[in-house]
Amino acid sequence: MKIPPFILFLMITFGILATVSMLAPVLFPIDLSDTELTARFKPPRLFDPESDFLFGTDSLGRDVGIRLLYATRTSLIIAFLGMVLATIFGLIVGVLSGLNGGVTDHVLSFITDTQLSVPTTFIGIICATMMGSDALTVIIVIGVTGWPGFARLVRSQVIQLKEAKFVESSRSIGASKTRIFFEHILTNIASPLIVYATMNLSSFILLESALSYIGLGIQPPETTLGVMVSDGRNYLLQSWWMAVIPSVLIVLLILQISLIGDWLRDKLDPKLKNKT
Amino acid sequence: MTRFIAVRVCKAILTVLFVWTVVFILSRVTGDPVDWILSEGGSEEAIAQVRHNLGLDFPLWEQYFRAFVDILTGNAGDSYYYARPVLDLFGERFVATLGLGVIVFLVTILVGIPLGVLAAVKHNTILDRLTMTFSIAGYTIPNFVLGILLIIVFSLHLHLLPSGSYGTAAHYVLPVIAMAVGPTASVARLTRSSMLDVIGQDYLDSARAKGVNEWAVIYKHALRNSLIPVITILGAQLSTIIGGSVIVEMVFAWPGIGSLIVSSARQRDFPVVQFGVMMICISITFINLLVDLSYSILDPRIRVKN
Amino acid sequence: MDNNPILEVKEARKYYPVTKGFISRRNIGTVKAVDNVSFNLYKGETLGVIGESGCGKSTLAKLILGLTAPSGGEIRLNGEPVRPDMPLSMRRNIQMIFQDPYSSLDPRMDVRRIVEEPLRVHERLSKEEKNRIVLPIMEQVGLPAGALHKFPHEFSGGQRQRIGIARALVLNPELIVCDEPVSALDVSIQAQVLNLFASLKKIRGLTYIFISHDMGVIKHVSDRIMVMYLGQVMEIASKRSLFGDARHPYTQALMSAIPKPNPAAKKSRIVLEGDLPSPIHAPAGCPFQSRCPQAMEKCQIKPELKQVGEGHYAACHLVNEGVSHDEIYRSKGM
Repeated sequence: MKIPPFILFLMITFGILATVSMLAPVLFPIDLSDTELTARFKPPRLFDPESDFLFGTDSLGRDVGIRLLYATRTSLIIAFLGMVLATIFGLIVGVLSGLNGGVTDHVLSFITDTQLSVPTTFIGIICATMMGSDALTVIIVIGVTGWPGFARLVRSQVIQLKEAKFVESSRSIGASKTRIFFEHILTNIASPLIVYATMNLSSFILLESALSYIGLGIQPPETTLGVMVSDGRNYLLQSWWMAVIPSVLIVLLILQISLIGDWLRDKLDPKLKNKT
Repeated sequence: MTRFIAVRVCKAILTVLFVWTVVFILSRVTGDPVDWILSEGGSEEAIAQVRHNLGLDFPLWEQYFRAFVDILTGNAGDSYYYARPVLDLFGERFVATLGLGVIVFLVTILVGIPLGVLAAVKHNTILDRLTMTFSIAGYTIPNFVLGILLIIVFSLHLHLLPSGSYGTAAHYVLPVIAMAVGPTASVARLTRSSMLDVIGQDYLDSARAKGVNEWAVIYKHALRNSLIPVITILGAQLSTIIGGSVIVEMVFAWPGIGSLIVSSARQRDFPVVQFGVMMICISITFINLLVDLSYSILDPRIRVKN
Repeated sequence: MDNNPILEVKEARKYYPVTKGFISRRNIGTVKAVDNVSFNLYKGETLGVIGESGCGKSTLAKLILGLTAPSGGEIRLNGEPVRPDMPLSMRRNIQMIFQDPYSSLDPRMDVRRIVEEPLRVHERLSKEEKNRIVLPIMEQVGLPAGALHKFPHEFSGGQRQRIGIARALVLNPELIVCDEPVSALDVSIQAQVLNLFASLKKIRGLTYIFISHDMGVIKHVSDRIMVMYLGQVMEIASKRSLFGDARHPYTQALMSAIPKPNPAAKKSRIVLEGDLPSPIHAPAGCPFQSRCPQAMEKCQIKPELKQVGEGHYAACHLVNEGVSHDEIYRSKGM
């Protein structure tokens, strides 16, 4: 597969970022609740060449750079787990809807459409109110807000595939419904599903950041990019880097994943263009 | 035609009921509301009293319907935290959010659509490239990030605009920009691609060669048809705007419904959150219904298909 | 040609009800996709089935393959009834080749998996056993063994059709139903594939039902030909009889549409006017009357298939009174 240099560049940078952040506890083992009050508000090295800290420190003297890695790690893990949840649930609903048709389809489609009309942040708010704000809640929120999109996609793919000639020919050979489902339908859904999941990963990261920002996501001392931005919001005047640096990283991650996802979609399944 | 309307209305009602069911189930499943109020625990009578006040001693079915009707009629109980009627709290903050939402929506339409049209008409020129870049920025940069950046640049360094709270027209500028960029970019992008589909490249080039008069004709017909998919997503954009208002209100300390709901959520002040979510859901459903019905007037094909 | 029919189709019907409404399904009509079709198929022959789109040939194929149940009548393969729930052992005896080489092969499977699929469904064989079956067949259809690990999109239309044929042969069936197998191919490739069909028939002793809308192709491959219109049989005869002496006006119109190699030959083209009537509201009587250049009052009564020659039957009032096709079947006690 030929990968254009720019996309390759994005993939490599994202890969490095992801890997390093995943290894943060190994590379930079710290206790996230540690504070170093003597080193508060130190600016990044870019602005103060004598600063010990590459990215400065925050209001509690903690190294922004190291926290950034931990934050990215948590954000990515949560977004990824949420995506898995959404994919599984969406797959189940979409397959049931597409294969069975009839009343099942009507009911499930109704639920899917209804959910799509509720703003995702509100679902997050409700869940946080009821279940408390922690990593598990956020993952569930992502799963809950994300699955309708997957279900729609899977459903339309399954409906198309059901009528495909190669499915009919398998039936004429005598293949059982189960065999046809696993050998033909699932394998043909896999690729559009993966593309769609990749493209949505960026919006899951966004959702997590937004929820954490308003305090309804991950709670300190655990940190994610959204939490870091929220921490920095109150100190914009004196140490703007606290908020800006994690913000830049959020944008960077979203940009990388979106562009890679777009390219992946154009390469594998251009028909998906209309479904986003 | 009436059948079409009836179906749509039924769907809308079912949608609201569905959301309410989910909210209700979640609320009852995840813990006894009494615990939230009497957090220190209390005597048997106290608990029973609170239960009675909250209407929790009715059977579950009754609670479901009573609470739903209550919300619809505005009788949403008292906030646990503020110990004031929920309705009052919302009433105070309603205008602030409404103002913001309406302006953002207007900006989205009035900036997004012309931008998309221009980009389509001047396809492959610098303006087009800029618009596309703008649209990428729109979905890449989250609204709260944008808000913070705007504050840093325009408030703290340039001292041009206030960084938060509410009051004059100047206070509106930054929040509106932060909230509007996303939806505007989406609308612009969709308008552009829709226009391009309708116009077709050859048509454009030959029109350019012929002179300005042709353009007026293109605008009139092409625009009308290409707007149809755009209107379709306006409903979704509204959802996004309302969802976004929650976050942006926090960034700018905007005394609106969004920030009320969020801070109540943080305190697990359930009546406030419940009312807020239901009210917003009902509004969105209602507006979507209007949008649905209105564009079926614009596009007769949709009416017939159903 | 044997005298034992391997396939017997008796008064087969497939009706689809057309309903309206979501809550209360009102029946507003019936599409009679296949309406009282009877014929026998003998071992070793190729029966060509011709008709325009919508004449029911594809539905007939589905009935014969047991992909859908008949609404009436009976279909028997070697004496056993053909139904969607028929045993796997019966299914291996009839295979199908499809029209569109581009959609009849799963794009995500390599050729080996595609061709071996019938083996996977019907048997448990080891790799060597499968190879023993698959490799000679690949040769017979003219595909290199190296094609086995490639994917469908790497092949041309004609080659993909060969893959489909290979897949159909793998279980060594007696009967192969070919549903417009060359319609989607370039004319030059059509000839190659048709020749392949002929050689396979000889080598493997196959029996074909060959469906097409192209009279030229049908003429090339068939021993006997059945002409269908709106789900009913208009005429059935041996190739020679049909081309020598077509009796049904519809058949005559189809014949006249075959391009003749001699441009100087007189153009006696019969042009049919009007469109196919809606299959939901099929007219009573002869289905062809709305377009027939020789339609009469009498045509509002449905004509029976009457014998006009040896093994030659036509359903038209213009045909002289002869023995009815269906009577012959009923009298043979089938």
